[in-house]
Amino acid sequence: MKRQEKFQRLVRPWQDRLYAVALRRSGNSAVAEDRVQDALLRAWRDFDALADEISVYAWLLKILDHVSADEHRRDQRRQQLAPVISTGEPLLQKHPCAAPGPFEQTLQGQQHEQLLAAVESLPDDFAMVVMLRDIEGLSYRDIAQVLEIPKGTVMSRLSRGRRLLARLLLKQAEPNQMPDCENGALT
Amino acid sequence: MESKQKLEALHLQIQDMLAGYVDDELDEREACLVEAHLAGCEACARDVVRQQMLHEKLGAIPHEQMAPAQKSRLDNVLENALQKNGARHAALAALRRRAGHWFRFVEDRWMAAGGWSLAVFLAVIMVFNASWRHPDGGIPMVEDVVAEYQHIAVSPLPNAEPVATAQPPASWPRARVLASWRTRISGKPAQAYAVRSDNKVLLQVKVGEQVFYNNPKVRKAVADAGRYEVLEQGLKVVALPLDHGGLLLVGPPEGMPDAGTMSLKSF
Ligand SMILES: [Zn+2]
Repeated sequence: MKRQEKFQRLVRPWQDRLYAVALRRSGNSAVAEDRVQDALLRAWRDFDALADEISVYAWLLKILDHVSADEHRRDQRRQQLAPVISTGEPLLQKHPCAAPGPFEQTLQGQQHEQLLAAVESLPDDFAMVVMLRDIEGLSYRDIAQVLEIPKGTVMSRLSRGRRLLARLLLKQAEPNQMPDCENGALT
Repeated sequence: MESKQKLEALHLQIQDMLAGYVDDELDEREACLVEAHLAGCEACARDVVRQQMLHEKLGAIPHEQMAPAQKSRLDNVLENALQKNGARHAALAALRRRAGHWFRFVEDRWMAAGGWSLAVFLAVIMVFNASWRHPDGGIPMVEDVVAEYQHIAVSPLPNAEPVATAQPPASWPRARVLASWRTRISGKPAQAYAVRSDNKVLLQVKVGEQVFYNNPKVRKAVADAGRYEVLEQGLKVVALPLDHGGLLLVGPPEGMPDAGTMSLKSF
């Protein structure tokens, strides 16, 4: 009975969070439900393999990622180019909403759905780290374990991913629809 | 000029560390390096602020919850798995100790063929039968096919023939051939077929007349009832006559096909 109780106590509390992630990744509630079921069944099967070096939630996310990563997506992931943009990139320098104050207003104007869609539209390597860090709140160590990459790679992908995300949101924000931007940055 | 290039290189290098600075994941030395750079580089300083804002904004997005119906479906699925696997887990652990490295092999092989429940089922059969000794006065062909069944439970399925062309003597709805191979029963060559039926695996072995009719008990039962049946250590063995020789069907009693739905092929 002990193993069951431990599973119930450690794993079940995360099921809603897993579902939220699966739903964001798949955009379909039935698919998300299936994946969560699969992931939790696998978690139960492999429960003895849960190690101390990883948090339970990170471990579950790793399982969910394996469940979700069909060949199709893995191929896509491989083929996607991960562009690197500099902090000195013209749009980030010159866009009227790029300065801190206007940028914050730009963010305020975004619906949650728009933000999530923007994250999902990033190249997968970037989308994953941004999702795991900023939305799911994982530590770099846990993200490194989930994605099986070094911590330094987590940091560089996150730096680049957030920068790309900022640029994407700025591109979407039409300055003429956001008069506040004009005041902020062109001075 | 050279120092300007160095500064530019540093500017690029530090850009990959800005997230670590925002998230407080840098060591002291790295943090100092970044801070010194930020004091003189507005582009990077702004990037840090944008990253902080994005982090906060994304962190505030509420997490979608499962609908009550989805939750109860998940509850059912897990409750089932947890209960079943509780008992099975103990059996599996025992088997792992006994079978050592073999187990991984079996698990992978049977997982691919029939899924987890099948692998567990076979494992449980193995544990129950692990201490079995051939009883005196047993029927050799029955002992051999039971041993064959146990063997396929702990080793990769032999697959000498393409499964698509393998034609086992008995067929019934929902029966699917997993593998077919040559074996020896009572010292004579025989053809074996592993067949999946629902979530059970059954073994069919076609033997020659000499082997099939060797034992008087079998001869009498076949003459009287058209078949011989015996329960051997939790496994059911059914002996059915064919045009030339006979068929031995082995599997868990509850997994045996209905006599009415089964058709026998003549050879
Ligand atoms: Zn810089």
